[in-house]
This record gives sequence, structure tokens and C-alpha cells, in this order.
Amino acid sequence: MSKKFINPLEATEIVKNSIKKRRAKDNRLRLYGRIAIGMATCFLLFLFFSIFTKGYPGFFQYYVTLDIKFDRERIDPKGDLSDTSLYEGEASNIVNESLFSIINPQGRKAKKEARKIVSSGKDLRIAKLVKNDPSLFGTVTKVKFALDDDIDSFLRGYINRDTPESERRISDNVIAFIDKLSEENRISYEFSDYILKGSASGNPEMAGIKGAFFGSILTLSVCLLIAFPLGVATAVYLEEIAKKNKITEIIEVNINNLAAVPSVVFGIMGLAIFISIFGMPRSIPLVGGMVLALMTLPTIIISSRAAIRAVPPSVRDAAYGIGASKLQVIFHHVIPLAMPGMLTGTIIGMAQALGETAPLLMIGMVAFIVDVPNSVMDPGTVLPVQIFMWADFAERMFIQKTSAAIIILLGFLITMNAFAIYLRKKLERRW
Amino acid sequence: MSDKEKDFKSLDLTVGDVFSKEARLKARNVNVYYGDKKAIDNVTIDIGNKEVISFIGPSGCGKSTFLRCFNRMNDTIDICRIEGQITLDNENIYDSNIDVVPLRARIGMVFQKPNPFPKSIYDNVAYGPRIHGLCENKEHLDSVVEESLKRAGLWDEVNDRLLSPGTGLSGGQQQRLCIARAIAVSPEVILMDEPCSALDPIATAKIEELIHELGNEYSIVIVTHSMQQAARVSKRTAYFHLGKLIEVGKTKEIFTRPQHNQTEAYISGKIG
Amino acid sequence: METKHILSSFDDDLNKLNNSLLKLGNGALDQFEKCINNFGTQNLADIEKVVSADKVLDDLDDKVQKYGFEIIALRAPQAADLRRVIVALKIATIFERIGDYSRNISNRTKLLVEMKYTDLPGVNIGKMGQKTQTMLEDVLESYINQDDKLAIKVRNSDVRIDKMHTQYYLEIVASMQRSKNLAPIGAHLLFIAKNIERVADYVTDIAEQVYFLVNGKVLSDVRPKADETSTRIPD
Repeated sequence: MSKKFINPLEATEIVKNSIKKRRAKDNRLRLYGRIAIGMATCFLLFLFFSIFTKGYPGFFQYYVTLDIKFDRERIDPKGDLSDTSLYEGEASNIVNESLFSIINPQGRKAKKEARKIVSSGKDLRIAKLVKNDPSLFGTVTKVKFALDDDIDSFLRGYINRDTPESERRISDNVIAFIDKLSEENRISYEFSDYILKGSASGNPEMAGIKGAFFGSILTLSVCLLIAFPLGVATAVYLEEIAKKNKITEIIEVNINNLAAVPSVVFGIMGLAIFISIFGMPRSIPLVGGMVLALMTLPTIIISSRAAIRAVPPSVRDAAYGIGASKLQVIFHHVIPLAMPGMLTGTIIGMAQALGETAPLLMIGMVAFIVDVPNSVMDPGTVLPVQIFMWADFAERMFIQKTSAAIIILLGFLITMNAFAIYLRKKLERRW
Repeated sequence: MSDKEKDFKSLDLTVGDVFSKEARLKARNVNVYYGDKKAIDNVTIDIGNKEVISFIGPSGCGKSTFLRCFNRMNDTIDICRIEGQITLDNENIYDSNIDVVPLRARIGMVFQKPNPFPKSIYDNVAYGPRIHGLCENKEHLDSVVEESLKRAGLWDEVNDRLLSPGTGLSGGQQQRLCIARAIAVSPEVILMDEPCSALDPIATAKIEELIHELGNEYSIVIVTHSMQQAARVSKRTAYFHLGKLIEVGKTKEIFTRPQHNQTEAYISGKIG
Repeated sequence: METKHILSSFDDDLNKLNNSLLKLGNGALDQFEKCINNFGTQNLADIEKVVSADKVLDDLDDKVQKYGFEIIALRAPQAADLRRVIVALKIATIFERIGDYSRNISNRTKLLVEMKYTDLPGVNIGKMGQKTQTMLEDVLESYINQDDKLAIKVRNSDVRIDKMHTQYYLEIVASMQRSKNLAPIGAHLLFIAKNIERVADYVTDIAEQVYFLVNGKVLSDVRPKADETSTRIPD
């Protein structure tokens, strides 16, 4: 043994002496890690807390309960419960009469203001009720109506009765009316049946996310149906079939770069090609899905390629050795084994696509759509765009509904990711 | 030995009986290149009918590469180039009109690390017959699976759990499953690339006994880095060194009085 | 006998070795029995048969050597297997030499017949031969049954043969001193008696090998010896 080599006993001593310093370093690192995690957790909790507290009230709104006389001749003059008949009917007058009988407005100005108390959706509500249950005709029944958004804001405390009347959105008269209604316990604060069942509306109290929700589902379905098969097939082709030469290298570089392109560029491309050149209609989920598919393809291709590469070569060897052809190896062995990774990548891409706003704005899915889209060719909008539009409006109630819609969007995302994890676990266990 | 066979240049280097009377596989002047590097240098050898022959030699001597030429597994490696002639029953297997898929059903392969498909035991064995369309109906397939598992010495241990995953078996059982899988397509030759190197001594002994039995039905070529295994299991042994075939002969002769001094040195543990 | 090897071909090889060895052992016993018998009957035809049959034993010994060598090269036997093979190789050689002695005794018996030999009083070659034959039978049995106790018994009975040898040696020398023309006969008789004594010694060697086969240890105590022919000067 040369002199430079430390003998075991000396080495033991040296190591023993250095232990203290090493332990201290370890502990410091551990502490840093804990602090970082603690800070991140705090931020996360703060974020969720603020979203939740802001959005929770958006699920509720104020209602007024009125006794409605269901007079058939006045509500349904033609007597056939058709939409035209109900449109010609005087449902709103009946409601106002019931209201006036309680608050007793005096003078034209007061009556005008009083007519604005109940939300303008009252006709529709009556119409829906009688269509569902014609036996209501001839009865006097209590019906809940949503209150106008200004009154709702007042009741929540955003409009202060102490501010001078000229600076307020509601007059003293209206405040008195509301007080009267409150005395009779006709005002209630309840879970909004508009937020989920209602569609886009200029009136914040009637606005809901139903249309945008289905629009999102349709758009994402189109996106998935285009992007998943194309993405998987591309990945399979590039990994298994194409020869490794300059061309495939260039393709790989381009795909990787496309994953980093800002999504609004895809929107511009959709506008230029699908809408201008192909002449497809704007604002439909089909075109929206196509644009999102283009955007999601690089993500799917990259993660699918990684999943395919992760399939151990021993499985391929075994399959080739038994006399399987190239396609049989790919479809019987490689794709099933790579599927968990491919699906994970796809769902990550889908979750990204769900939250995309800019490209869809470019192709015009920002229209004010009242009806729920029934097919991919009907004009529609998506959740993030709906949120974006609501965020523009001034009314206070829209702010709350926007936060509520954000909560719904987050819930949608979490569900999708949970589904991804479940699916992946299920597929992994089989092997 | 005919005059034509005497012409083969490799006879200058290779010692021993390279040719067999009823040869199934014949390799003539085979060179294998990985890019520019020559891995196999001018090898000529016969693989006899229903014999067990082992390829031995130090690491990197090319024996696995040469083995993989017989079932064209080297086709999957882009930079691998093969010169020379390899025939199965006098048909050149590298001919352009030979389909590699049925070839690999006639020449089966068992690999170093047991690699059953991530499917059930039944599906593992049934996969080959299914894709080659060997069975007319389910009963036929069932009987093929049963017979293959019996011949591989695995039937008694797994017949009550044929639908459980193949990957749930022990290492030795997995390798026997791979052998059953290879047998299920009724091959004529079975190539084994260090089949026992990942297994413990008892599992190894069981597989060696299995190979001994299978040698009555199939021609078997085994690559092994254990000379003792070659001594136990094969009737003929071929010694490779740096890509050249140095000596071929009856196993008894190679291990008691080898003709080439390089063979002697390797067997006595005098070179690496 | 013992549990089987996983590799059945290993068992086959060991059985092949054992069968050849037993053939050789029985052959040597048979040859010895015949040569002692023929000493009594003086049948020249039978004696000739024994001489020519010795080649068979030589061939069997070559076979055993070859099989044992191959097993060591190809199987790398361990423990009891290794002892079996080594012991088989050793005692095959001994059996072959016993066969050689049977041939030598037969050749000398031929000469004695031509010289018209009749029994010398006090010299009972037949009795010595039969006792040695019994030892050979016993040692063969002890090998087949792996009976080390029987082997030790055989080893200890060599003393009697040695004593007989000494006794006959003195008798034959005395006879030759008494009558000069008995010298040629006496010389051959001396050789024959010596050969039988050597066979008994070989049988004892085999017994010691059997002990080693069974126990894995060499017999440590000194073999009892009573042969004084090389140490004693006759009167």
C-alpha cells in the first residue's frame, strides 16, 4: 500500500469528525425544502380561499315570492300553450299586479320604478311553469322570481342607502318598496337556479353558464376526436416506421417548437385558413375544435413519442422473434403498453385546451349566444370566453357570477385530471 | 468432405468438423459488420438435424451477433450489414423474396432475460399460433397451448391459472414460458441466447434438463458464456474468438482434447 | 441409490461408469476363481482360456478410465460424486492388475503341469487361493453396497493370507533344500504363492478405497502386516 492511501482506522476517524458538518448541511437543506413547500402551500391556500370567497356568493341570488293568479285567458290567450300564444299573453302584467298589491306604488314614476323590481325574466318563468304543469291554471300559487340585479346588489350591501339619491342606481322609492317586501318576509336569498341553467344574458341576474358549458364540451370533443388519433398515429409513425434521417430530424424540431407557439397564433391561422379560405362559419364548435386540435397536437405527439420510447426493447424483440410483422408489433404490443403515457399526455393537452381563450376569440367564438348549441355546427361559446366576456360588464353581479364561473371551470379541470389519473391507474394495473 | 466444401476459405482457420451430415442450417463465409466494425469474420458452420450445439467464447467475440443472423433479428438494427450465405434446408434466408415473418416461425428464439408478453399465460403461448393462423378453432388452440406448456415442463405448475399474467411467474418459470411460446409455432430450429444467465442454479439446471429433452425434437443452438453449461448440455461445441470461428467439434472432444491451442487456453481459463 | 440429479444425463453417465466398473470387477473375480480352480484340476484347455480372456479386462479398464475422465471434464462432479469417480478410476486399475496376476498364475500353472507337479506337503495353494477369493468377493460386495464395515473386515483378514504366505515360503524353501531336483517346481510355486499374496494386498487397497468412498476420509490406522518373507532368513 502506497503512502497516499489512507489506512482504515484513520479513515474512520476522519469520517466521524466530518459527520457533524454533513448532518448540519442536510438539516439546512431539509429546512429550506420545508420552508419552500410551506410558502407554496400558503400561496395555494390563499389563492383558493380568495377564489372561493369571491365566487361562492355568485351561486346565490335574491328572490321575491309573489302570489300569482294563473288566469288562463290572460296568460295563454290562444289556449294551446304555444310560444306565440304565451308571447302575446300578459304574464308580466299579472306579476306586476301581484307586486303592486303589496307595495302600492303611487304615481307614474314610482310605478315605472316598481315595474323594474322583478327581473325581466318573469314572463319566461311563468311560461315554463305553465308548460310543465298546466294544472296551475285557475290557481293562485306562490312563485319565486329573481330580483333585478341593482336590487340584488343593494341587498348584498354594495349600494348603500346612505349615499345621496342622485348618486345611487336605485331610488328611495324602490328602497322603500324593498323594505316593505322584506317586512312581509317575501325576500329570500337562495341558491341561484340561473347560474347553471341559464345562458348568456344581458341581465346579470339571469345569466348562466349552461350555453358556454355545452359549447366547451362540444368544442373539446371535436378537438379530441381530431387530435388524439392524429397525434398517436404521428408519434407511432415517427418512432417506429420512419427512417431516421435529416427529414425526420427537421420534423422533430418543428414539432417541439410548435408546442411553444403562443396559442393566439393558432387562432389567427384558423381565421385565415378555415374561415377565410375554406369559408366555414365563424363561432361554431367545429372550427373551434379544429383550431384547438392544431394547438394540442404537438403536446400529444411529444408525450406519445416518449411513451413509445419507454416501451422496453425486450418486448419488441420477443414479438419479432415469434414472427410478428412490424404492424403487429406496433398494434399488439407497443401501443397497448404505451397507452397509459399517451392518455396522460392527451388529457394534459385537453385540460390546456379547455382553458384556452385567445385562439377562440380570434375565430369569433365570442358572440352573444343565448341558446345552448345542439350540434357542432350551431354557434356557441366556451367557458373561458364566457368568463372573459362577463369580466367586461360593469354590473356588480357579473363580478360574482364571473368568480362562480371560474370555480366551475376549475372544477371541470380537476374532474378531467382526476379522470386522467384514474384511467392511467386502471390501464397500468392490467399489465 | 467434398472438393466444393474444401474450397471454403474458413477451413484455413477453423479446426474440427465444421460440416454435418444432415445439416438444417448452413452458414458459408458469413461476415457481419456493425457500421465499419467487423463483428463476424468469415465463419462457415453447419447446424445438424436434431442436435444441440453451443457457441462459446469470451465476451464480445460475436457469438450472439452470429446467432441473431440465423433468424434475421439483425434486420432490426439499421447499421448491421451481413455478407455471405445462410441457408435453411438449402434455401437462402437472405434472399429478397424470403418473407422474414414465416422464417421466424420456423426458427424460434429465446432471449437472455425472460421476456414474456404482458398478457396472460394462455395468451403468451397462443399469440404465435394466432398471428400465423396455425389453429382452426379454439379447441385446437387449447390443445396446442397445453402441449407446448407440457413440453416446456410448465403445465403441471400453471394449468390452474392460465389466465393470470405471465409476468407474475418466477424467473425460471418465465423462461420456460418463453420456451413454450417459441415451441407453440412448431419451429424446426430453436435459438437460445444465454437462456440461463439471469437464473439461479436450480432454475438453470431445470432448463438444461429441458433442453436435453427438446434436443430430441428440435435443432437447438445455444449461446452461452458458461463453458460448464456447454459441457453439460450440448453434443457439439463451437468456440469463437474475436469474431472468428476457431474450433468446432464434439463436446467431449473439445473439453478433453481440444485441437487448437486457443481453445485449450480458453477452456483452461488461461485467457479472458 | 441416492437422489437423482436434475440433469438426467449426469445420472446416465455415472451409471455407465459404474456398470463398466462392475463388469471389470466381476470379470477379475471370475478370472481369479478360475485360475485357482485350474491349479487343482490342471486342465490345460481351461488354463489357456483364462490367459486369453485377460484382454477383455484390459479393454474394460480403458473404458472406465475414459468414462471417468469425461465425467470430470464435462460434469465437474462434487462431493460424493467426485469420490465415486476418483475411486472408480483407482480400483479399476487394481482390478486390471488382479487380472494380470490371474494370467501370470495360469501361465506358471501351465509350466507346473508340464513338469508333472504333484502337491507338496504343507503347501496348500488351493486353500490360500480360496481364502483370497473370498476376500475379493467380499470387497466387491462392499463396493456395491457401500458397506464400509465389510471393507474393514476384508482389510483385517489380509493378515491370515500373509501368515499362510510366510508358512508356505518356509516349507517350499525347506523342500528345495532337501531335494535339489525340486528346485524348478519350487521356484514356480514360490512365485505363485507370492502372486496370490499380492492379489490379497490389492484387495486390501480396494477395501481402503471403499472406506474413503463412504466416509470421505482415509483409513488412518496402520494396516496389520504379518508377511515376513522379505524379512526372515530361513534356517
